[in-house]
Amino acid sequence: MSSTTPASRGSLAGRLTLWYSLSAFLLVLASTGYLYWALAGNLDREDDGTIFDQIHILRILLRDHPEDAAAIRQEVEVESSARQHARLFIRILDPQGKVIVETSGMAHRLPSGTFPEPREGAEGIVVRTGTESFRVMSATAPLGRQENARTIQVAFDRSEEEKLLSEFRTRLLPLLGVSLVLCGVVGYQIARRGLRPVERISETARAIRSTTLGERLPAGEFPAELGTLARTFNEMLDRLQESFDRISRFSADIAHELRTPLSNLRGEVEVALGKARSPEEYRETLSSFLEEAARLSRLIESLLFLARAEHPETQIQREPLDVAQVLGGVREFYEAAAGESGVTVGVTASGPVPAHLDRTLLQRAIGNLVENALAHTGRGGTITLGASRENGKVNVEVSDTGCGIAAEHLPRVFDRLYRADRSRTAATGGAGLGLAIVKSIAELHGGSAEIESEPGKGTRVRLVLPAEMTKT
Amino acid sequence: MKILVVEDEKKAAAYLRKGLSENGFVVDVASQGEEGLDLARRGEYELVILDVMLPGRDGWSVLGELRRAGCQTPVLFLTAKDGLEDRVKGLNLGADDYLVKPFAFSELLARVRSILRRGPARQPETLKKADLEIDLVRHRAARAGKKLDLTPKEFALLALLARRAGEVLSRTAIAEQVWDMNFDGGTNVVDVHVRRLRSKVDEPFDRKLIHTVRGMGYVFDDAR
Repeated sequence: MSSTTPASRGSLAGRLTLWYSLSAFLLVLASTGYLYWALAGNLDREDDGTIFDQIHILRILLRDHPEDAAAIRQEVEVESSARQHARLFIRILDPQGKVIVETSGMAHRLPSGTFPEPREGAEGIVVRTGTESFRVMSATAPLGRQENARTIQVAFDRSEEEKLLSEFRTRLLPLLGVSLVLCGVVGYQIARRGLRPVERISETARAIRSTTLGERLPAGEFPAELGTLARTFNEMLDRLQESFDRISRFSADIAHELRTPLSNLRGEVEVALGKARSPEEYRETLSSFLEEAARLSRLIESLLFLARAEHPETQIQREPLDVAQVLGGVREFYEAAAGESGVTVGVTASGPVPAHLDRTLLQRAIGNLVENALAHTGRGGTITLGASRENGKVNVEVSDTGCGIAAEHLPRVFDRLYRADRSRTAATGGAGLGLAIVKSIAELHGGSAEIESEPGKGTRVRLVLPAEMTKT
Repeated sequence: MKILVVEDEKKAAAYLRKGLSENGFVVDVASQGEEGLDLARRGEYELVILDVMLPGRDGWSVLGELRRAGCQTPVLFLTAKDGLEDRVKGLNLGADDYLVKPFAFSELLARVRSILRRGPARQPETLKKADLEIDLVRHRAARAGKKLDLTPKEFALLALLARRAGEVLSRTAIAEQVWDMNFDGGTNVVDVHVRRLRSKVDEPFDRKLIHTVRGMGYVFDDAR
């Protein structure tokens, strides 16, 4: 039915079918077996009851008329002749084992040796002679003195019961056969039916394309166990859709980012070539061209950096270093530029902060953060770089006393090409990749980046990095 | 000095030829790997600039074949991929340096000069350019006999520019060499440092030594 992995699909349905039909059939088998056993037991007890009755009557007779052989014979005869088919056979023996009286025809069918020794309270036993089967029992009838005791032997013809039971058996066997087949069919149907929702989930999964990422399974319509699976599946789709949306938004943003400098380049060159110009003017145009080209190169380099950072096999070059010293180096680099904008840059690490980190990446992350801070901090402001180590983690902080970021932008500032204030940051030349790079550098180290900000008060970005290599 | 450029892209080949020629090199261009390999084997070049992506025989193969043939001409390879594996592969094959496209021409020129300088060149202890004297050992600089009051980084920046006089140094290269900052933030940080250096080195004097090359960087030039 399904072209994909029929083996595994078949095995589950097959296994379920097997178990369903096997257990159902065993139930049928057990109940019919029990019924048969109960019926047979009932018949035996009925027979025994008849035999007990007869013994009881004979005992009374023997007690009341111990010497009246005629009365006893009459009783025996009456008993056997009362029925069309003689089913009850009676024999009375004296203590020496001599037959006092017996049902006619009994001698050759059931010689007295076939009877068990008399025992009080015993059940009848089955004796087979040729094609016939009897239930037989012996009992003693004490007549005062021991030498007068009589032995009573009673046999009951079981052929009726045998017939009934064999009829029962011949009807049961085909019934069992049919139920075995039925159990198989029903079991298969149950398995199929039970697996249908799973099939629906897989059909939905198979049908999903990038254009139909919005589709969801109706989790509420599935049985509880599969509802969980369907919800998990939906959650996976949510995540996929989110990152897919992010990527397509990102692609659109990239196109936009590339279009702006390209259109500048093109326009400037077209205008410059529009008429003859002085070498100075050409030089001016070409220089501007070069600046735009450099901007494009930087943008592409940053995009490539992010793309590479996402690649799971990207390795970083850890080396032993002192984070405080790296901060000092970054401060030295930016100090002059900050001084021109009237911003103070300080480092607040109290001592060396040793760690194994990638020096170039760490510099880049801190540099990006300082550049952001510089762009958003006005005259008289302060940028503080801090580093500390606790519990095997290095905290690197860059905080400023700048304009801050509105709360609604905070969750997205680490997104690529996201700019809280397009007009403002675009003027400073950032493409909105700085914080995304910071975050990916933190993640390359197995750490994380956090931001907190209060509009008007300032912003603080913290990188939490494992100080040593951790196995992932 | 003869340089062989193996590059299939016409525009790139053209500007490399032009730029290198104007900087005093004699340039031959090959547009295919096989042709490049044949030319390079003749051994008359001081340097081969090799593009990795070539039609037919690619740059790796040219480089490998060249080294197998025992030709030790320095090779600078150009690649559009800046994956670490690519660099490692090139350097393992015996390349002397690499550049990732897009690169600044000034950077290429610097690398070319640096490769060609390698070997016997010894760092001089002092540099004299016009009326500027730099003592590289004692970290002192003086102009027209007057000691310049420079911070260590300012001194390093001046020494770098003076040592590579005539070469345009990009802001990235300067940040890397002086501050060991290996990334290009695209901000004016280096400009500020250069401005401060100029205020000490050039401002008090008529003759300017440090020049801005717009869109490219800075150059130390005592002939202007």
